[in-house]
Amino acid sequence: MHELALAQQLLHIVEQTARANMLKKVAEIKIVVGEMMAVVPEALGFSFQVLSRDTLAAGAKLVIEEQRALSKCSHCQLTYPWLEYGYRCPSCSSLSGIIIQGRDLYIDYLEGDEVSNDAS
Amino acid sequence: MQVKLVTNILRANEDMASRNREIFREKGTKVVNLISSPGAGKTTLLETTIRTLKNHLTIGVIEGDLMTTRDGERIAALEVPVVQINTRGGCHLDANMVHKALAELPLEKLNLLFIENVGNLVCPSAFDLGEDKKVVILSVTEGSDKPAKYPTTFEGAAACLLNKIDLLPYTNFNLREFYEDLKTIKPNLPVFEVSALTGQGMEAWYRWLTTIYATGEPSPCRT
Repeated sequence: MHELALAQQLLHIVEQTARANMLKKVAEIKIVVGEMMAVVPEALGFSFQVLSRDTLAAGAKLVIEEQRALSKCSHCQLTYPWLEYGYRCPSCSSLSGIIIQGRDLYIDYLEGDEVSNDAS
Repeated sequence: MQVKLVTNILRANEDMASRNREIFREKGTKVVNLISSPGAGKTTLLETTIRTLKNHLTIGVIEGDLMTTRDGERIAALEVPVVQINTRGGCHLDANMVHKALAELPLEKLNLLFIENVGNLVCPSAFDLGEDKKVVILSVTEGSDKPAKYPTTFEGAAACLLNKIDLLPYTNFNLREFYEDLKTIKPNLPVFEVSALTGQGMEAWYRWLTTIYATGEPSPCRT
């Protein structure tokens, strides 16, 4: 449900970055969303599409890479999916796992067309 | 042209949460962020807690709700400082909303500040408010499968209150399943079986809170 708030933040950063880099239009945005962040990619994409109308990011392709939540067992060193097993290692049953991946929520890059210098 | 960023989308919230945390540290106020589904008993828990502890600790409250000032009025009746935030549809509190509310609270006089988040077991856990501890409240009428269904919320909590425990005989809540699921999701998470309405089991919760205030860390307790 908080995807709309995230899309607002995303758009804000995209617009700031585009202006700072003299982009007249944003064509593609790549973001990485960790499973621990409880974000529904489709809802984030839809929210962004609606919010970005009439901005320089309108119609931009939003590429969302879903990052799995992974836990590493401190006992046998196995790396396994946290959402499936929690902190209980599926191999040795130890409860000593540590989440090593899955909390990220970041913009990787954006691509766009630069403002031409013809007018100057 | 490609611009490489690697910028946290929640950056604005996290920057504001850090500012809040710094303010709380300066004023010496410990902050507990209460997260639960609607109807789990957050406000009743606060009422009972405040009645019992207000002669020992000075307590303030930030109330988060979509609409109405009803919860804020319930807390104000206990004569403690309270600020009501209405998110008008927003499903969680964010650090900026809390920051604005701080201006209306006598923080330097407060030992403990409770932030009652919007009733929702998903979204509030993604937004750092600058609190010291997140506490999740589950009531037995909601069912014992909730930790397994909302693992990230329970994983992020420093304690769990299992509320309405007096109603346990009238529900199909499975305590064994609840504790087994919790053990894999958050080993050693302190759980307090309480009834905020009758006061049953609340002493252990009060001890936990008092220790948080005194040391910033919870006392060792059973799971």
